[in-house]
Amino acid sequence: MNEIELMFRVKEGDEEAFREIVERYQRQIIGLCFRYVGNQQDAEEIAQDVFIHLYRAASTYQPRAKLSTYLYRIAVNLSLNRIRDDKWKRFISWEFINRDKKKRAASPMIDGPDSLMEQKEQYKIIREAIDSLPANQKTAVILKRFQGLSYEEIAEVMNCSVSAVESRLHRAKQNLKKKLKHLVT
Amino acid sequence: MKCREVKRKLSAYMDGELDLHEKKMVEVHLRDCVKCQHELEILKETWREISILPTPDPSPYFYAKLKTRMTAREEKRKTSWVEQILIPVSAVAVVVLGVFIGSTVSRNGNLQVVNSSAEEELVSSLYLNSFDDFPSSSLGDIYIELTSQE
Repeated sequence: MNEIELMFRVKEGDEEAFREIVERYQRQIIGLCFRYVGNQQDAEEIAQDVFIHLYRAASTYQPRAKLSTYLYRIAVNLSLNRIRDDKWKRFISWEFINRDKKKRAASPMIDGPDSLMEQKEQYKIIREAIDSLPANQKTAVILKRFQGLSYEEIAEVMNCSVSAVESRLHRAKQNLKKKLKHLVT
Repeated sequence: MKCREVKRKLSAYMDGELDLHEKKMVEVHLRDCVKCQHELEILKETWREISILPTPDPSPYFYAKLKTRMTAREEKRKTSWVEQILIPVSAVAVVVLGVFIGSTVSRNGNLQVVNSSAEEELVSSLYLNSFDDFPSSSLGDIYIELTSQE
């Protein structure tokens, strides 16, 4: 069933249709929120808020844009709000890194605790570099690099022109280049 | 195309977002410009670098937790309705009833459900008649006796 059909069913109160939508998009939405807040618990909480918003708005749903555009827009706004409210709580969560270690066990990068520490440090530097970007540039980077959206799709989510997206990404990459030059050979 | 112009387009070129004409112009410039080639390589490497950040797997209980929150919110909205409407209405009803009872009592004197002997007993046990002497050996009687001694 396509997303339009699913949303019309949600509009009629079909819980299974709503569950289907959640399962289709939860990974992307949690991932997006995670880029902003840096820990899984908060990211999942914000993602839940996104789907609650969707459910409440279902009664007025019109298929004017892709459902993902709508979800990303809500997720970006809620995540930025959370960062503004919880500035002092932002930290890097290492729990998923430890779980991720098992997945990367075959990688030549990891051969001991020192490598893991180096990797953590690298993640921290990259995370801080992205966090230091102005909100518009950060959002453009997250949507492009981590969500894989096109410039046009990013423009829809951010409610701006394609040339504005191009400009934001250009400036973001220049900023990241400066901050990460010691990591880049 | 000059280097300055090309550098502004390198990000979009990297992302495959230039139209055919612009893409060709950039590629022609890159063939002969080592500086811009180097700039492009650095941008690509930077972009690759940030991709190493891992993405968490959603919790297997994500939907269950979402459902629990939605149900709790619904319950809260219903309770909120009760608190906002029913409780104030009940409070007003209690006040109105109290006023009615009060006005009934004041019109009819003492409560008629209490017969006169029981009423006298009640009054005397609680010293409700202020002008009566205190019963002997009561604290009130002793106090009066003590304070009246000179």
